[in-house]
Amino acid sequence: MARETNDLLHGTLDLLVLKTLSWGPMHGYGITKWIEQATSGELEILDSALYKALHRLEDAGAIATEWGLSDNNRRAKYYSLTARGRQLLRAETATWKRYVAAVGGVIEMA
Amino acid sequence: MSAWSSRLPRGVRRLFRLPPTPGRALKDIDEEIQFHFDMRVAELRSLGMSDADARDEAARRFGDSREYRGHEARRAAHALRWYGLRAWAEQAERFAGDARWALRSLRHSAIFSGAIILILGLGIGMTTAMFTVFESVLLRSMPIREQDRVVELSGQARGAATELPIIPAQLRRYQAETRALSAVAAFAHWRTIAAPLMDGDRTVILRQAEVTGNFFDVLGTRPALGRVFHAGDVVDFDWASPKRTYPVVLSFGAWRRAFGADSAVLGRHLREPKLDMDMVIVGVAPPGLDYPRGVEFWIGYLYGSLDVIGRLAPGATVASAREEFMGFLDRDPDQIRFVGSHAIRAQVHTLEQTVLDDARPVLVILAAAVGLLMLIACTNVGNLMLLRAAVRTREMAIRRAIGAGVADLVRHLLIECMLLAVAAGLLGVLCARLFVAALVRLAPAELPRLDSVAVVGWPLAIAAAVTVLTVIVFGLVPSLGALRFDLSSPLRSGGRSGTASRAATTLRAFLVAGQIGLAVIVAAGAGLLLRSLQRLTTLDTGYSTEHLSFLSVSFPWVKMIADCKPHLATLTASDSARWNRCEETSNYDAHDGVMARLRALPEVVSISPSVAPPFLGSNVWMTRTRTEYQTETEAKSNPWFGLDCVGAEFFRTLDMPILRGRGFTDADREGAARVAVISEGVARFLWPHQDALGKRFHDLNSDGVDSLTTVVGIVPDLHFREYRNPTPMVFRPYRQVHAQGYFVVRTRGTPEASFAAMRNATANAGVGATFVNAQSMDQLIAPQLAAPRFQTLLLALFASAALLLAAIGLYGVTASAVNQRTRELGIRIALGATPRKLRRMVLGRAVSLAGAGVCFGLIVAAGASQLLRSMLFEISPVDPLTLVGVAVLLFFVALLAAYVPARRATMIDPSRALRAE
Repeated sequence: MARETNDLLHGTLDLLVLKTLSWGPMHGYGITKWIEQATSGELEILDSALYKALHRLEDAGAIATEWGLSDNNRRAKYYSLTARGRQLLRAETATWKRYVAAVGGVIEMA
Repeated sequence: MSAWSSRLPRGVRRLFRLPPTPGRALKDIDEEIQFHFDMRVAELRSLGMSDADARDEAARRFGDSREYRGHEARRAAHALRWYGLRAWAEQAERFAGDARWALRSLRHSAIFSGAIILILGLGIGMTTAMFTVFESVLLRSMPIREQDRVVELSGQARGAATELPIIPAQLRRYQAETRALSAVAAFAHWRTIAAPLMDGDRTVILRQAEVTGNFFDVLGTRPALGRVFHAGDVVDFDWASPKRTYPVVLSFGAWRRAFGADSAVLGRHLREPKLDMDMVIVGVAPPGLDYPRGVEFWIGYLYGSLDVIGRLAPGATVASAREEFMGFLDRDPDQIRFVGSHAIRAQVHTLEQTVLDDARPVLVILAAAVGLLMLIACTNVGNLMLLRAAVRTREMAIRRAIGAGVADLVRHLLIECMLLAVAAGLLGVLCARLFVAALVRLAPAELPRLDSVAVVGWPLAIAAAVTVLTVIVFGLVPSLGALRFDLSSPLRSGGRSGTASRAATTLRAFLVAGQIGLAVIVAAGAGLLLRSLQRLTTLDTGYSTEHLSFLSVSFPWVKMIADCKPHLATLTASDSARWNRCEETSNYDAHDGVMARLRALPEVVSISPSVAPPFLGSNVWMTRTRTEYQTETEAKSNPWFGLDCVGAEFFRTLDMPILRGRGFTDADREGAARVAVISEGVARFLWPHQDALGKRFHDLNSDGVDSLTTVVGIVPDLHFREYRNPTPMVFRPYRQVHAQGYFVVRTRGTPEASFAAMRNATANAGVGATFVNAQSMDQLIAPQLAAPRFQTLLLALFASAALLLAAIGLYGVTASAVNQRTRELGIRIALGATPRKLRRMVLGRAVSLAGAGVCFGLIVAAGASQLLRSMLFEISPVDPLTLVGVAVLLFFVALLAAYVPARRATMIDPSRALRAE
């Protein structure tokens, strides 16, 4: 089932996008497909929310865009990680791990 | 977001990472959504959904697309709004980063960068300096209102005296009569003459031009300081009242040089010692007014022969003025009586033509030389840049491979080129200032209006534009070529530092051959000028210039006139003639008195009067002759000959031979038979195929009576009126014609050493004479050689620079060829090639390049040197010795430049060369 963006923490979506792009430049549709496959469809994200996240990250200088050709030879906008994006990914991953550990610890205690 | 950047083409916007415009941004967003939507639909349909269901599902999964679009539009607008603040900071940061990167990369190749900056800086400097001079001398107009409406008019006689003067009475009649000219002014026929002036105790020698009061009105010139003359300011020079004060206007240059640009000079009095004239400075002319050419001050008095200028009346043309002036000369009664010759035609030139005609060929040549040098410099820089591009192919490929975008690389290269260009430009401005200062200091008076030279904007702009273009074309284009390559190929290809493409190598070979050719052209020009200068300095003048000097002495002429004046109320014609004779006799006796004193000095060998300073030109102190049996009509076609009035020791003083007959004796004086010594040119013309000795010709004597004069001697033509050319001369005993205080003196030692003794002897002669000044013949000749010497020096400098650049070019090409072939040469050595053979192989290519260049250069030089013709003295523009010499020199320099890398080729260690790959 599709969920509202609000359900998913902002940071989470950004982290997913950054992680996805760490494999190489992709267009927006490619990113949704990749996240769907990687999460086995558990996380289904509204496409508009994904694009908003992409552009938010672009404004922050974490990702860069360039128009290129898709596999079926159509003009498509490709997103790629910048140096700052890579840095951000490392930082966010660490934060996320601490967050999961902390939340997990709380839940285990109950 | 400022308006300009939204008008930029997309490529530029992308290159400099400017944000897209709002319209463009929305179009991009729509395209992206459409692509996403299409992909989703295609995916869903492949899962078996119907087209309509797939579309519905895709739309649902996207979410609210209208809300998203609105969001994006706001975002794009926001990005643009804040662009000015945020993005500029980013741009500056990025630029600083790029500049740092470029600086680092330039520092890594310091020799390369230094060479480029030096070559371009010198090129820009020289070009700018030359164009600056060019601009101020040729292109900037003089401070004269409507220069093309001011004309110089003159009658022409046959023969050496090309331009005939008119006398003041004729000027007044022509002023009253003319319709073609709205105003007519005049100045002395000899144009400018050096005059010693006493400024208090100080003596300054300045070139004077005598002009009419309306001279500046006709030119339409306003003073820089004080005032210029006005009609009525100026009267005919009057011997009876020489004590009046004459107004003087200084040239801007003379004011700066001789008076320290002091505005207090206005009202200052100067004294001209020769005629004991009082002058007062009334004004300073504006900078750049160099008319008549070489003038340093204008003085308001008229005496004797005049040249005419006028302003064309509305509707009048040069042709109509010519016709009118010719008609006037034909009718005017004074033309024959005083000027003594009919004009065979009138000539009228605009001032523009007159002033610039002499300077133009020189400047055109120099500008051409500088242009060639700039071309060589650009070629050289191009070559260096190509070489660097070849070396960097690999670097570019690596940077591409690790993710640098094409735009990044282009931006980096561009900034690198710009840094080079800016540094070269700065050096260029510095050089230009130095060169201009040096030019102004070295330039002879022949370059008019140098007092107004200053480095101005547009020549610099041209030079800078040429440079930037060179750097970009040769710096960027080859590198762009490298970017187009398949990324991996330069990485795979064997060269340690990458190998240049075949096309680039050929291009560089062409550039080097071209440079050598251009250097040949400049060197050929310099060689021709050098040979010409050598001929000029070793010229046989027809007399001995060593230990010869020229004296100017002032006599109390006013007192002589007063003393001889008959005390009668009314003068009859015979009284007047007697007065004249008395005055002449006292003048001659005074001359004899001074000569007797000077001759008694142990330093003096011999002395004679002479009527005018040497090298005054062939336009003044001329005489027209009619042989005994010629009619007046036949005599019309006789040319004018130079006239000198000399003493018995003249030919001995000049140390020249008397070919036939005799020289003068002290018995050749007033009252005795009228005699003349003529030069061969005169004899040949007046009595062709006959013996001129003993022949007689008509001559106007001082009383205006025509009487026959006998030729008693014949001498060779001599270089006395002009330095470059021998002129035919008629010599008369001074006591039968005129003497005006000029003497030639031969001394035992150097003339300068005896000037002080001469000054004392003159004062002690007891005839009231004053020594004005003296110059050795070498001093008098020096200005005659100044212009050719200056031109030769400049062209020789350019040629040396061209030679050096061409050598650098050839060295670079040969050295890089050796570098690229290290492996091949190593193998050859391993296989037993001798050093001799290797050297021959490397040199062979350099020699063929140099040969091609030299051939090309010689062909062009042979044609182009025709431009030099007017500057050459007794040497052909295609002088084989010069051309062959230059070719050999260039070839030798080329061999030398190629020998160093060729030698290195023989020292390659084969094992190292092979392992290095």
